[in-house]
Amino acid sequence: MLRLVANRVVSSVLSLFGASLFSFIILRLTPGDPARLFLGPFATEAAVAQLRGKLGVDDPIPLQYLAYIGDFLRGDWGFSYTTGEPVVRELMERLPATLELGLCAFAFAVCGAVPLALVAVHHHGRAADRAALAFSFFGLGVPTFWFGLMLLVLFFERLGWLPGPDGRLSLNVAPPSVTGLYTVDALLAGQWAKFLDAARHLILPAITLGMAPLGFLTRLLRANLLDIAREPFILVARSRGVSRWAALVRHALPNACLPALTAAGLLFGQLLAGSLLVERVFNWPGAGALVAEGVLRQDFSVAQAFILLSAVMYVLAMLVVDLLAGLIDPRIRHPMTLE
Amino acid sequence: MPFRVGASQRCGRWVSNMSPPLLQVEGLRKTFSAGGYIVRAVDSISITVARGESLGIVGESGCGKSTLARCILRLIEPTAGEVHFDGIDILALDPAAMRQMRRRMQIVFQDGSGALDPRMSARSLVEEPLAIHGLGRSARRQAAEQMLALVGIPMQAADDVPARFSGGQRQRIGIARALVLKPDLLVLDEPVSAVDMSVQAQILNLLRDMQDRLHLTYLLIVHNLTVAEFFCDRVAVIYLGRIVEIATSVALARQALHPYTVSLFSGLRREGQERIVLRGEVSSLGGTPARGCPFQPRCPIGRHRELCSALAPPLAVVGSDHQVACHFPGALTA
Amino acid sequence: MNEDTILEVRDLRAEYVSAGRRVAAVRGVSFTLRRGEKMAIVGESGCGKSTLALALLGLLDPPGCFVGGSVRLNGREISGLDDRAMRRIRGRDIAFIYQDAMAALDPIRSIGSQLCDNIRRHQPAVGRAEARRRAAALLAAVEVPDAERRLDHYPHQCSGGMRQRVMIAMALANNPDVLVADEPTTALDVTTQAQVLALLDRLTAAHGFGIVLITHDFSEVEAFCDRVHVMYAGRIVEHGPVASVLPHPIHPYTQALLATMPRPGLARLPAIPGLPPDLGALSAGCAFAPRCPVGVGRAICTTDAPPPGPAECHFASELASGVAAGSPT
Repeated sequence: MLRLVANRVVSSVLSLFGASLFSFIILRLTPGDPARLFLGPFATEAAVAQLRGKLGVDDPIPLQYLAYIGDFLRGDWGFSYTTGEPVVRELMERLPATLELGLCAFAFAVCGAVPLALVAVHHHGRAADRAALAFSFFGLGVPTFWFGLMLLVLFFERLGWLPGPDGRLSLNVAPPSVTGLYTVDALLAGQWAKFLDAARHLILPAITLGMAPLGFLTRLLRANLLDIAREPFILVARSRGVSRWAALVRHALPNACLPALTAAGLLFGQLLAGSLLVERVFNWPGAGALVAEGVLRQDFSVAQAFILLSAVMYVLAMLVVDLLAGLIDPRIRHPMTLE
Repeated sequence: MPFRVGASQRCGRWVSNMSPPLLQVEGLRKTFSAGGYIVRAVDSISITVARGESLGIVGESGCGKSTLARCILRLIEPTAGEVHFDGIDILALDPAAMRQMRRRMQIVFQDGSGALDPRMSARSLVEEPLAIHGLGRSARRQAAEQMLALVGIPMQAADDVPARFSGGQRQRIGIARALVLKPDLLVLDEPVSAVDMSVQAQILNLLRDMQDRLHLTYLLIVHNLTVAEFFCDRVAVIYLGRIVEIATSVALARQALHPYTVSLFSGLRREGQERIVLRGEVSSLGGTPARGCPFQPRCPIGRHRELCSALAPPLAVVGSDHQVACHFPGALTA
Repeated sequence: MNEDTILEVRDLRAEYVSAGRRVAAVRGVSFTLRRGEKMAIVGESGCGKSTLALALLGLLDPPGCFVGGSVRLNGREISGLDDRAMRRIRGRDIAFIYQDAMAALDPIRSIGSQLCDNIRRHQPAVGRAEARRRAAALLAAVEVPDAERRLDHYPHQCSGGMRQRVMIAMALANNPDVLVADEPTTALDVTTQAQVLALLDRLTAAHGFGIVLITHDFSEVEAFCDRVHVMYAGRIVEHGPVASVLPHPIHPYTQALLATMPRPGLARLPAIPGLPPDLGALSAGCAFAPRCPVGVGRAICTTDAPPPGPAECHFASELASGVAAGSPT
């Protein structure tokens, strides 16, 4: 097991290296003079030349790459052209919000997909199956922002059960910051009312963001379960007196999760990187909005930092997936051994 | 009596040993190494197959018989040894010459459904080898149709995909595909293991007919000794990559000498005779012992004998056309 | 009914329904199994033997469906029971062995956990440690070496013969009365096949359960079973003790099937002409008639179903006396 973990960690590091190289090359290929962009069209040639020297744009490429990596690791992610603030500070302020939202949406998707898929397969071919399929199609197809708005209309405006699009908390004082995730921080500080408030604010955006992954995972799990339910070991389990439902849950589901695990990892990476629309609808102070603005305004540093950050998120998610798979599947832990 | 010299009889067919052998294998070895384990899949095997003969290779899973077949056809590169086909050293041929040589040596696999492309029709499957070797379209079509008819696939089914055929029919298509190039040697890797008894009989009959009609030489690989005994002129029994007994099927049926061969026969049947049930299983992963007979751990005779654990018995001649690799041949009787 | 009888099947019928078409897979099968007896159901693919096994266990899922007939286990009628009641019986009174042990075991759970699970399902009073002890004892009983250590291994770490033994251990965990084995040795080597059959032999003698062995291999039947039932197109066409049916088969299909076994000295094997019938389009009369050497040209074979009996053939008595008179088969 230890060898497996070490193996996977090393390959993750290599992946990160590859991702950083790739993002570096992409960014260097984009047209535009970063120094000119930073200083604006009215700066003098001399000033631009001086900044170019400072930014190291004319240095040899390998040196630039090393500087890029070195800076990133040290936390110097450059300055945003639009606000003049250090990017790292801005991103780090807003990242926890996106993280919290992404985690909740993911949890919603997974906790919804598993029972839906199980019910669909147990009643395969009948009404419940068709309903589950229809629901997953809906989740995959519905436009995110429209759905978010509709949820707000229903639950906030008409019914008044849940808070509106006013960010993460109604009371504007955040709990003492430990992780940056308000729910966790509130629990850690014992502030029950703040916890409830933060949680209530999370419900609608999490559902909105999680609908598409829910639809996707349901369909995937359902297909895997159907395949596995046809395997002989399910029949043999039933021949020992296991009920159809128990055979599905205890034998088919763990086996079906294995191929779904990778997809789930990818989805999680996507959630973190693509929550922009939902953040807009709910006024969620996350990183998505920041990055979108940055890209639109050709804010070089922001885009650059975010690409690398997403790469880190993806690689970490896949590392977790790999380790989980090793935990679940003994064939990965113990390759064939001698008698 | 003239027919005794240099010929063997099988039910009316004469096989001549006077002409040079079609296939001559000397000291063939194939070693796989994976993760620190070394597996000697084929451990110095030498066999000769005369023109028109059927040689059976019998052994259980993990004994190396499939690897042996693939090495002989050079589908896998052997680690050492020589293979002479019709006098030509095929291991020394360059790729282009080898491709030409492949026309003369073909193989039929066990699982018809796995070996046939599920999207191609029976007709195109049989035409494909002809296309690879450059035959024109109408000549291909004609040859394929002839061959399909010969193996008993009706014309109206020629455009169906493999899934629409039964297991036995898929096997026939595989045979047709192998024979369409009119090879000299046909290697059959477990051709009847995956089919019912009556279909097995049909396929074996078909193979006999083809052999007579097209003057084929067969190398039949099976795990069932009775099938080999019925169908082949000579049978070689393989255990852990080595030949433990090789004899004409008549001689083998009369008396098998190696304990492993005896147990293959007697494990299941022969009323009035004692069943000999071996202990343990073939552990092929690195299982070949450094010295001593490979079968010794499971051998009812040799399990407790010094000689068997100290020295690997060589393949020795014990009768006309009967060789055994055993220190105590004939000691185990069924 | 003899109190020695543990399984009594009368006129069992099952079919598959798909796209409005009904295919009768089992068309009225009857047999009796006694304690300690080993009976074989022999047939080729498509004869309905696997459907029969599933129907016995009540595991026929749509599109298959149990149509009618009676199955009595120890005198109790189990054919009409609902799934909940059947679940108590499956694995405890009647057990099942599948042909491919690799596919029959959950690949991601250890052997010990699957065994213990099985034990505690039907004997809930047994605690975890006790279950583990029993599991090790079971493995030892099926001659798995180093049983205690094996409990923590996974299926892919075992050889084919070992996995089959594990499956037998699981089937016998709760001392069933009947063991239904669906082609248990098809996927095994000849020598392993002999070992597994010898093991089953010993276990039957020791525990007194009956075995229904479903196979297509006559040599296995000859070596191992007491009675044989030959199945063709959903019906048992011949049955009787192995010692009399195999050397002297009466029904033309049994004769033809036995004749296809390879024997040295023959130039060609007598093959059965034609193909098995389409079970969805069976006409009246004997199902084997189109391929039968005896029935060729005889009208009764195509119009009337043959009368039931040890050999279901219109000409059974003639064939039997021909056999008794020693004419070559």
